[in-house]
Amino acid sequence: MTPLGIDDVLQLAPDAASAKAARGLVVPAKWSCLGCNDEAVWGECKGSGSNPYRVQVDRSGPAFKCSCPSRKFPCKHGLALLLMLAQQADGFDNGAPPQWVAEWLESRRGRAERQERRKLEQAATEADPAAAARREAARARRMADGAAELTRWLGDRLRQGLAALPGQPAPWEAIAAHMVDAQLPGLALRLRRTAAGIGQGQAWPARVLGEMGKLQLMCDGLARIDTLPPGARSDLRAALGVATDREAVLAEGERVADQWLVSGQCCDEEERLWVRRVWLHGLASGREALLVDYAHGGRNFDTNWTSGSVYAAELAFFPGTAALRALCADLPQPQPRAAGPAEQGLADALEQLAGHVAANPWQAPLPLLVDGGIPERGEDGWRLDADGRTLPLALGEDDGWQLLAESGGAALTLFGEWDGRAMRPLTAWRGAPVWVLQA
Amino acid sequence: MSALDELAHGLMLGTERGAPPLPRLSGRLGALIDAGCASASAAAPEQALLRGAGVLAVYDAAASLPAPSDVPAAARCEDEMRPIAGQPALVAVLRRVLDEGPDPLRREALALLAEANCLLAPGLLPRALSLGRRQAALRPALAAALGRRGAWLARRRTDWQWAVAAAAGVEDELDCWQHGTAEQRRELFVRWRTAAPAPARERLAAEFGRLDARERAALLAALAVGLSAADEDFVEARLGDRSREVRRVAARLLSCLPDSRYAARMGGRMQACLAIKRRLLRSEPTLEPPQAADETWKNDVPDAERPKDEKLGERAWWLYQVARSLPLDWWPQATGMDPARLLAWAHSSDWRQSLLRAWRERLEQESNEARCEAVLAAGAIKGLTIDPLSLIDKLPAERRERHWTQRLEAAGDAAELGAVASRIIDAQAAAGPTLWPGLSRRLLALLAAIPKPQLRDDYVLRRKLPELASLVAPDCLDAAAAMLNAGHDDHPLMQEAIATSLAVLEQRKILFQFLSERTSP
Repeated sequence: MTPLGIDDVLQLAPDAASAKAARGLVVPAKWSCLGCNDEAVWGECKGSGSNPYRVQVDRSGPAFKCSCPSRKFPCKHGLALLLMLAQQADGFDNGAPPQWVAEWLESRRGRAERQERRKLEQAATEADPAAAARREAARARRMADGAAELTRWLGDRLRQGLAALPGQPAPWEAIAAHMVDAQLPGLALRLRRTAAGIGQGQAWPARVLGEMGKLQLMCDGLARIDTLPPGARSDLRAALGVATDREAVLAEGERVADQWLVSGQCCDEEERLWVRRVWLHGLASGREALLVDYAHGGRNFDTNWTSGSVYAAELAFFPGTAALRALCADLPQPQPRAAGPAEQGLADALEQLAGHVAANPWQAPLPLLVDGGIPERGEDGWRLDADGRTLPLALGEDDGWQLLAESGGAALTLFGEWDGRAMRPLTAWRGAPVWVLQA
Repeated sequence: MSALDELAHGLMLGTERGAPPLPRLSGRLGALIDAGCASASAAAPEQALLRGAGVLAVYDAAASLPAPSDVPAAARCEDEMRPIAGQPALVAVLRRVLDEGPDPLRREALALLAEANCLLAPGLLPRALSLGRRQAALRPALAAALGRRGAWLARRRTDWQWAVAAAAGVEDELDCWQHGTAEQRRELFVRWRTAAPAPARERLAAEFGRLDARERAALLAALAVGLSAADEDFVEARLGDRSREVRRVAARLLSCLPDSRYAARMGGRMQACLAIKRRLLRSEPTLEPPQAADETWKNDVPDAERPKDEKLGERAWWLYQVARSLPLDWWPQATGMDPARLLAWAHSSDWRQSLLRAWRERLEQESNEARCEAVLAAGAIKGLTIDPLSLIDKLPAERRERHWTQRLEAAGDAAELGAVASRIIDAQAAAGPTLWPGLSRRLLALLAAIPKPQLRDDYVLRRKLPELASLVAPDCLDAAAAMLNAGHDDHPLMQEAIATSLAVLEQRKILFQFLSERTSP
């Protein structure tokens, strides 16, 4: 397992105060019994109590355990241990782990196995089909009622006119809450996003009307969901927010094993819930894939992907027409080969974008890869000049100047997410990745 | 306007006032809209309109073309002439050094880059430019490491203009002189004075009347750079300025010109009080200040009025003012006595307080190296309480080490040692390169001998530990790490200081490894 660099370790910190506290602990005098092997890192840190705290890190993950009373996760001792490893690796013994470390690793592996077994047992005892059918029917009824209510509500908005919309956020929040109750969280999310865009910019009426129109189409689709082709049905269910069972995807989803290049990734936080999107590009198959992971409380995801690296893995795709979303079916193996993304001018990139929209009109954001573009700072913000056209970029100031510094006015290959109006750049390449969006 | 825009426009007032027609489009899109909306149009026109809008929105999403670029592309940056320091480990260390400092470490890193004739990697340029905006002292060193890409980047952002200022033309300078802040004007003036003293003085003379009192005083004080006899006329005229601060500055400047008329006048006044009496075999001067000052006294001395809380009497005050305007070399010439005898004579005189006070001021003001060495060698002089460390600061860098080592050895207790160490760190951090090996080792040994709790409580020294880590000679990095690691201390502030200092030592090791032919020990 490649050791993490200092910056990577600091990224794992739940907040800046923990990172600072961790750096203050990187003093060899405070640590004893330091050791590491391929699986784990461990040590004892002198704290304010009488006994030193036992700190251990499972390198696959990484996962932390510490005997200090802190409620933060990971605590400053765990971070400091990894920083010590990054900064002064020769202070560590390469021997066998002590008993308290070995026990913990055992129990972690045991826990994983127990979880697997429990899931299988659950699937087996999911016997009563009648109860399941009743639950399904109840849910379908709630969803249908919710869709009907939304249709009426949208009609009301249109009767009053678009000009009456600004300055009235309450009805949108109320209908969004109703959609959540009707088990249509995807519609609630769209409603909230649309409400946020009312009154923003010159062209907001057309934009908001378009969003409302799409909501209407989704309600119409729900009304006759059983007559839709299977791919469209899965896409609509995903857009409505109906959760897809991960086990079902692993069991039945389309499997593609390939060398996957990580085109880019981004990590956003909303109320202590972290959402990470990792975009992959299959080097042999040419498939695009999207992995979506959630984490609570901190940026601790199960697997770490490095933008610009290549991994050998087997992905299981979710159902849908030309689906993008996938799961990683096994442990991804980093490959030594370096690869750049395929060359694609603006015209081809837009063609590919149109293809994605045509296949699944509800998917957002969409991947966009543009070659030969030059980033620039304009008066109203950042933009990408490519092939005589200009693409707006959704970029913060600091990230923008970093990108501009790397570009130096010369063309780069830029990969990012397209949300219908602007591109959010995630990685810039010139042969090798030269810029990555700082999370 | 697209079809969706038109539809939205028509719906602004609502369908109650009359529903707008659905857009009539040709081709498959039109057929789709018509087909989809036909079923609903009669009963619920809103549904039909929404469906049409939804179809148009999806169509736009798939078919939108970005706008053609109307602004011409900016010029591309030229390739660099010098190599870029691009190894990932080095870039990571440079990033942390630029972000966190401390300042001596930043200077050392930039100096190493310059020595190796390397440039900063492009990813580091934005933080380097922002650092230069905040810290004017680092600007020359940073500018040398920016390269062409850095200058290209700086031109695009207003608060990075400092990097472009070096190449700014004369028009920009005049603009800064006319409209810049007081601080900017002073910096500009100092630059002009260093380049060409006389034209700079002319410019100041032209502008002087229009400035306010504070700025007049500040710019006049800046005339000390490259002060020469040619400036005498202008400065002497300033003795008549409205503001007392300006007059004080003018008097101080004139007292630094030994051949000026002012100095001659002062010398004349003092000469008038001196009388050489023959006493037995020796001739000894006596000092007799006049009972009342002459008429031109008030013109020459801004502080002619003795302050109310001043301990010196009226005549003693007069003597003090005259004595502080005379160069120290005047005394041996006028009295024929050498410095040791002069001091003894001053001690025995009635006017001891005035003379010693004036002489102490002159000593700290003039930077005569030989005299500083002599005073330091003499040790403590009775009555003349001088801060030896400020004298050491006046010496050139090579000679300071010996004196500092002496001071460190002579320090009595840990508190004094801490104070001396702090002063050394400050003096060296301000301008110099790293400390010499001998001094570094001695300093580390002495600091190691201080018990840790005392070191922790000396919060001034504790805060300076990271700077000390960045100033220690390159050969002593391991010794410094050992000293910092020794002993346990749980106090969080001490922990933080030690951890930061250890990190600084690590960073220096990596910098030397990549950028210097010196092998790190």
